Amino acid sequence: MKIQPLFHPGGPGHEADALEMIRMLDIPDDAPARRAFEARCAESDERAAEWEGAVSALSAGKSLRRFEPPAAIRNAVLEAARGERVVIPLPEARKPGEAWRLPGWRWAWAAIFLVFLWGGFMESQKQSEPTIEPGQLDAELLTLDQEMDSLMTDLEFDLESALQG
Amino acid sequence: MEPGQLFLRYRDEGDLKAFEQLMDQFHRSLFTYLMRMLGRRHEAEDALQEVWLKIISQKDKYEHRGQFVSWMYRIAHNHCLDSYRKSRRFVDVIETGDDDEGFSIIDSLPSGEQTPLDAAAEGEELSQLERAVASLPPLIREVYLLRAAEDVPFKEIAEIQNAPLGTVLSRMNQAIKYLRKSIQTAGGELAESTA
Repeated sequence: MKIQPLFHPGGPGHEADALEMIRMLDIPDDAPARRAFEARCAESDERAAEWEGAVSALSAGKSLRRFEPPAAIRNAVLEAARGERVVIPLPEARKPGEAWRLPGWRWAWAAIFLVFLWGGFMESQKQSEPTIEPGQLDAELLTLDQEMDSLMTDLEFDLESALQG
Repeated sequence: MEPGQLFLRYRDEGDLKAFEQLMDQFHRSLFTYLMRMLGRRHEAEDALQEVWLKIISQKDKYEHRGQFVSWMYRIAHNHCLDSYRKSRRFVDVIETGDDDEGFSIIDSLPSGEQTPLDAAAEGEELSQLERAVASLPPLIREVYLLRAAEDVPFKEIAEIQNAPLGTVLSRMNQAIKYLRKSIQTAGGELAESTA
């Protein structure tokens, strides 16, 4: 699909005139080149109207609303300009071995933590060990004694049987 | 003191007062430009900060013979283009932006697309001129805003847009014709809309 131009300049000559007119907007009002150009425009009503429209469109830009930025941005930029890199703080990379160079108070807290950890571990070990009452020990010994007697009887019986056989 | 000299005093001598004077001169203008180019306030605020930070971080690239204003707006212009590309808004408009004829630029604005100032104004009453300017395609709008609102000469606008002077003049011509036509269609005159 061919895109239709929004404006119809009406030929290359007209376009060149239009660009010359736009270029004249940069020339100061009182400059001879501008005065000469305006004099030429005055010769044709169409040109005069176009020039007037261009000048009023340019001056209309001054009436556009201005926006106010937040003060915080200005302060942040000024801090950056002073060389204080505080605008976007990034974590600094640590050198190898630097992690061990901790302040003293951190070592103290780490030691206290380890003492508590060790104490807790020992306490849990104590609780998990089986405890035997004196009466239970005697009963255990008696049972073992009986089992030994029984084993000895069995062995003697097996020996006798082997000799007889 | 001329803006370029102020910037050199900051860069070469570390004169923070000179930098503050530059901010006094251009902070609001730059924000207004970014508001009209990007449309959304939060985007314009982020962009404003980033543009100033780029000015600071790239200060060694500034050449004395260059105009500070055009250098500053060139950084802002590039930021806006990046922003359009990232958000994929008006991507067709940007990519056809160097067309000498320029007519396709206006026609490529998607119908029903929310214009930037519509988003920025958020319910505020806009003049016919404000509406017409907001509905211009970005590169044409930029030429009009820089020349008409910020007094940047066409030659410097050509540097900002990295385009031939003829292209910039053509864009300004289209902007003026479009604004006159839009306002006349709406039943007004440019002179009235500025009152």
